[in-house]
Amino acid sequence: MLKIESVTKKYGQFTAVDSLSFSVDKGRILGLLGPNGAGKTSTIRMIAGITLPDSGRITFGSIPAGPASQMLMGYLPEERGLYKRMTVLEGIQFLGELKQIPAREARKKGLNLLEEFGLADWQNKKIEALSKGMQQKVQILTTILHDPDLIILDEPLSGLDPINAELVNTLIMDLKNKGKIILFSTHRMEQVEKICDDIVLINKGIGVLNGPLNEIRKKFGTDSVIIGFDGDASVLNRIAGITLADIHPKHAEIKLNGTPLKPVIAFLNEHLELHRVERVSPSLKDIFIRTVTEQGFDLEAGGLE
Amino acid sequence: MKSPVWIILKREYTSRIKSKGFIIGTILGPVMILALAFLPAVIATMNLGGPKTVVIYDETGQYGSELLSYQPERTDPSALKLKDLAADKAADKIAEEHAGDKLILEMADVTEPASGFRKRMTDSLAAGKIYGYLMISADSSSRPVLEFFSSSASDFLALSNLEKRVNSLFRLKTLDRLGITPETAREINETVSMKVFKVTEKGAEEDSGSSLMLAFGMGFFIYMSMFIYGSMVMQSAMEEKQSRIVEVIISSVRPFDLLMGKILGVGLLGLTQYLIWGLTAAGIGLYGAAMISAFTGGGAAPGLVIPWYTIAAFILYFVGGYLIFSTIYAAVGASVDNMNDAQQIVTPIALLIIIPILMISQIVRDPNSTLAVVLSLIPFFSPILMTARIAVQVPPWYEIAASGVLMTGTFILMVWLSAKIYRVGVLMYGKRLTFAELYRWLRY
Repeated sequence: MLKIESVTKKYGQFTAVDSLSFSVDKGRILGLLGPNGAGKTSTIRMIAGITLPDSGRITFGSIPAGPASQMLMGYLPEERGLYKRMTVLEGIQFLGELKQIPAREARKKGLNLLEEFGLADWQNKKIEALSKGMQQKVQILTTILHDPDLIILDEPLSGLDPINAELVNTLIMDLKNKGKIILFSTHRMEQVEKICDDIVLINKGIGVLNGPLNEIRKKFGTDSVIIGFDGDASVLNRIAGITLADIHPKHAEIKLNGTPLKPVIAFLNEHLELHRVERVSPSLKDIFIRTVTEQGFDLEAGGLE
Repeated sequence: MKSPVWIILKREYTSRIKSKGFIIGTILGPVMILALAFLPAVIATMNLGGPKTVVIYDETGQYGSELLSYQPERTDPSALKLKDLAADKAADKIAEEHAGDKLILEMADVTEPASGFRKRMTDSLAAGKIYGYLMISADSSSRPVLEFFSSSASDFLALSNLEKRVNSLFRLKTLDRLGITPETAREINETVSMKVFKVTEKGAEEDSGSSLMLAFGMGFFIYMSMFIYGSMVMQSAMEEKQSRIVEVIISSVRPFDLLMGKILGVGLLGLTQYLIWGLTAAGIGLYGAAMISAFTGGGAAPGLVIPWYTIAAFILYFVGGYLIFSTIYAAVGASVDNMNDAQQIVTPIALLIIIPILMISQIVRDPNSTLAVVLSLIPFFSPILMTARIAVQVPPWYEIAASGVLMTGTFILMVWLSAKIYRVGVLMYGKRLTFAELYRWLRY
């Protein structure tokens, strides 16, 4: 289990991460979400043992984040690269050796993975000769070369075409099924909705929401209805128990707050001419925005998609 | 468990030694140095542009014809050989062969008035038919007066030869007039030379200025190395940052290990390169000595015997200096992400290497002055200045020991500082680096 306990990181006067806590179990994928500059990369670097928290604790199993945990961990940074003038296999071997795999074994494992990724023909080519997508596949491959128990992927899909993105998604699911812990960071919410089990939403370094995705969904869940209508909108105010989230002359979003939907619809049908009724589950983006505003934080959603 | 430093070192070393840059640098380095040293001289001796005709107008009637046939008696290997072509060519023509080029001397008819001759020659000059003309007249005390006219009097080799020849001819004539035989003249001309001995604890040894040459040579070598290998380390750190691989690396090893592996790897590469150069130079040296002794007719080549302690000092101070400066350079490379920013930070560091090379001649002239002692103890200057001092005169042991301790201390301090800067710097992008910023990093 990966456990982050009230971790704080400051750079000078700037607080990048503010007493953040969460944990992930084996065989689960955690999505670390937030707009650009929210503190995702700062958090990940501490988990990866690259920087130290100013306060708080990060443990992987029983090992604190540091040189020992690094050997059990594979990290794909957001800003990533390889030695351009080394050959593909040399580069893989070097990064494997850094994870204490003997050179020969690193080459063997590297070759197997290259074949799996359809890059076997490129093993002796210089890395600079590879396309950007191919280089990215090589990078992902080196991340899992030493069979790590914790895999940290910072924006792993950025720059990949849909086919390769799918390939990476499959790989992530495979790793999950093998019981690995996967930390997946992105500012693209729809990617998370597809594959994550748990999510942590952070804004300005503060964790604003955290838990299993389906529970969060349920909580915010299908409690809203969007209606399109003709008629006098003021009748909406006569329904007890609901909240009007969004109201326009011909369009409204109603939060049911647990009120059964059927009688509401019946009532509306009686007084208005309905031409659209849709039960909606809020997108992660909406959840994020709602949570942040409800908790009274400034929203910095510039980079949120 | 394999040491991470070793893995980094191995990659740094093997990937570089196989690179084209290393192979080219190793071959071209000495070629470039030799070219820089000798090329101007070689080019100067090459007379590009074919034979040059010089017309001599001798009013005195004493020098001209003799000048054509006169051959200086004492010739050294570099002196010109005159070949009398009178027999098989025009009667008053003589060709001078020099470096494949000819200087052709022609006598003018002195029955022609000087003014007419000058006018004619001016036309020839303009037409490019002749290289120049020489007017020989005599002053009131019957000393020859030589005037050479040319449109481009820039071939100083040819000119000085001409002048020399007239001079020795004039001297011969003077000796003759005074009734002194050439044998007596030669005796007068003989010189004695003074041998210089260097007195050390082991007694007196002959020193033909070689220790001075050695001091300059080794100082310069260390100076070059600091720059070349220092910037190699800097570039290596910068490349890792630019290619963005550095974050992956430091998720496996400590930045300190990366720093050390890099410094040691490039350092080992430098030693390899010096070994190759050293062996090649030794080979060429042996061959060259044979060549020189062949030239000087069996005379021994000027030997450059380097005492073992000087070599030991050179290696130790080279290594020490490299470690200190490459550590600083590595920190710079890790804290910038483009060459422009690097230049700015590097300039004050480069000064630390340049200052001692500017002081070196002062130091070797008076190696035990207070100035020399103080400067050579400054850890940044020691590599160049202490080595130079050891080459000319071994300083007291405690001064060497003190410089060793100071350099070690400086190295440790630099590693400590650089490791801190490195740790922060490698993850910092797009920030314009200032010294104030660097100072803040130390406290992160």
